[in-house]
Amino acid sequence: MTAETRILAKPVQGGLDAWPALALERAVGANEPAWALEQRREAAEVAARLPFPDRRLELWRRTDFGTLALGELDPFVPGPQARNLDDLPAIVIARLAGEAANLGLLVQRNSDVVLEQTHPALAQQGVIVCSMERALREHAEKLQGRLGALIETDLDRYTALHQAMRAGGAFVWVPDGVQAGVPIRLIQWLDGAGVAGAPATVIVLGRGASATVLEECLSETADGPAFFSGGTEVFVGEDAKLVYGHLQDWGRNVIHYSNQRARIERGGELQWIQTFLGGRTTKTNSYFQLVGAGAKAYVHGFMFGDQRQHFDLHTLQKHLAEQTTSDLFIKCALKDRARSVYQGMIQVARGAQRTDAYQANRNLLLSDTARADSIPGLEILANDVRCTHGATVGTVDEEQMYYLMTRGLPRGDAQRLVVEGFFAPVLDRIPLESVREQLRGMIQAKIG
Amino acid sequence: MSQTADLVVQDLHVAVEGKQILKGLSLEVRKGEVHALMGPNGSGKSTLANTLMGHPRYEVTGGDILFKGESILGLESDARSRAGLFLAFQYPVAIPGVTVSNFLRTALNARLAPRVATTDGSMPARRGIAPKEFRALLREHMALLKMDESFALRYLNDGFSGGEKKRTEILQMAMLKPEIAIMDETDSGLDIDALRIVSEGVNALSGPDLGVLVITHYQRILDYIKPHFVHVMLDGRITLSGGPELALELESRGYDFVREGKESAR
Ligand SMILES: Nc1ncnc2c1ncn2[C@@H]1O[C@H](COP(=O)(O)OP(=O)(O)O)[C@@H](O)[C@H]1O
Ligand SMILES: [Mg+2]
Repeated sequence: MTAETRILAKPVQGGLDAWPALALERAVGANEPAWALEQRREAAEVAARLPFPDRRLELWRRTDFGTLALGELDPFVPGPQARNLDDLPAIVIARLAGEAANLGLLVQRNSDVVLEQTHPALAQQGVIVCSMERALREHAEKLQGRLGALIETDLDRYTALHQAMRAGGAFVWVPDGVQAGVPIRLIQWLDGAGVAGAPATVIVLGRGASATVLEECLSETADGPAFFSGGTEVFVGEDAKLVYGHLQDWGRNVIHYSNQRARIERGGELQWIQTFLGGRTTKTNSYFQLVGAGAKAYVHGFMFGDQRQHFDLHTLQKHLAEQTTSDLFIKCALKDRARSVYQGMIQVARGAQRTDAYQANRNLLLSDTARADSIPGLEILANDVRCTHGATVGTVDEEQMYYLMTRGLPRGDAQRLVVEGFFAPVLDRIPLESVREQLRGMIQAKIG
Repeated sequence: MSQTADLVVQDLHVAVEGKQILKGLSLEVRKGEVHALMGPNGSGKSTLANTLMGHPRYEVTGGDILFKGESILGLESDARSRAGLFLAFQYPVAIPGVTVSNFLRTALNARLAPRVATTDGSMPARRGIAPKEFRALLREHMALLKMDESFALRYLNDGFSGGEKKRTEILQMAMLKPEIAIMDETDSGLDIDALRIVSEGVNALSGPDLGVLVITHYQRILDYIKPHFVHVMLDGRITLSGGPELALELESRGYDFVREGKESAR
């Protein structure tokens, strides 16, 4: 089978209502442990009683999935196993830039993980990089109490459905004291229109461990909607350090909804990078729980929308222990009729004294018809804390344009430089140079 | 000598937000010449400089600006720059996220063959100066201005000290090789050492291929950059022109003697 095999999605008989039972049947067939099956059943019940969220809910006031008819998509589109890298879609191969041999790598295509590659260095260290399906068979004890523990099932119907329908996903485990020797990349690929994907990913760093993990969403623009439902749960152990990037580069037909949670123990540090470049509509809730003293979360993100792209990011910096630090910086530039919504919340619990929390959102509008909404929020119950937040929405500065043009740069080049500069501080944090340069190229192409 | 000057400002009238700032200013600068334009704060020196560069906020309400024999009033700032005009800003603008090096490479490349847009919308291959050649050129010019190499990777003017900004202006001037350079209060905010370095930089660049218009309201910089001509500007006009000795006279007597002279001339 070659990489370009046409894989056709077809709606499930009985529509959405029939989905959870079919997913459960498959999970039983795959020998998922009883607790995981039970989790699916409970999630299915929650999904059945919740309506789809609408604009009456605060988190859905500015974003909807338009005419998406979820029940007409196919959540069971298989992915052909890849015998080697050559069997992967061309865009995935290009993205890996010939560096696959130096990675822990997992590629999911539609509902199935089609390639699992544990690097010898990682294997020797006891690092696990494998599909969720395999992990539930071989490492169930490591997943119990973690898979599904951070994402609230009843957050909304999509979230409940995700937990009932979970298909594929990855498990990353870095044992205590281990500094993972090579970066780990988890790639999601969807084949064309009509597909619905729902992987669940769990990343666990033991005490004093460190790793770099990238989750990347890639597909080719197709004619007709596809839906991606993501769920990632990250556990950063005591004094551990994780660099994690979530890079959304879907084709323009994909509607993306994901929940991402990170829990950081005492002295742990999370460096989180979140980027939205692709997709039609993207909605993501990224929550960071600082549960142990001295835990730190550094969150940097950017979104760059054009045409009618819509991005919605909700972040929560939750300080539950003293002397915790969170530092969040989200940049957004919009062209054409693109729209963004950023909703940020800092919560500081009563006992979380001497907390330092920072949140900033900068929006750059590159057309009259683009629109950015920024809604910051604070809930502070401790009295000895430092919290700062701020949001700005503006256009390209005319004095900057003038200055650059007096150096001979035509207007277009001057604007390109200003916009590139706007993204640079976040781009510079993307851990792998080849990925960073590809994203830089995508930004440049998008500036036009 | 009968040849027309490279930069000719003819009876220039300029308004900003409806307010008339320049009221009939005339000036000629040739390559190889150094002119000093002196005047008190608010007399319109920066207005002249920015009008010469085509700042969109300055409205030319009368007169003309000729560069190499042709009016440039219809040209945007970038075209004026590529034609050979340069302005060292009084207040250089920060461009966060854009390194000095990336910026200068882009600016140099904009002077080479124009990039052609590809039909499929992909990034056209970056032609222009080779990276190695560019780095050598940059290093050479930075050394001239006694700038540390790490400077090239800092974001342009972002968090720079006053002196660093002015040095960076001269670095740009050196790299872009203009025919006529206007320096708007490059001396202000500089300590003596920085002033010397910046002036030596300018002196190293001057010669038969460069004309310089040094704008200042102190005589101080003229101890380092020797002008051939000195002009005094008051209230939107050049009211007095002379040789280098005029700067010294201004230094000892202040602008009042020019004002008085103007009064008595009426
Ligand atoms: N952008 C502007 N908007 C409004 N007034 C301006 C602007 N720029 C200059 N002016 C006014 O024009 C006059 C001349 O200013 P300027 O050219 O900066 O003088 P100089 O450089 O000689 O100090 C001043 O009265 C100043 O207030
Ligand atoms: Mg001035």
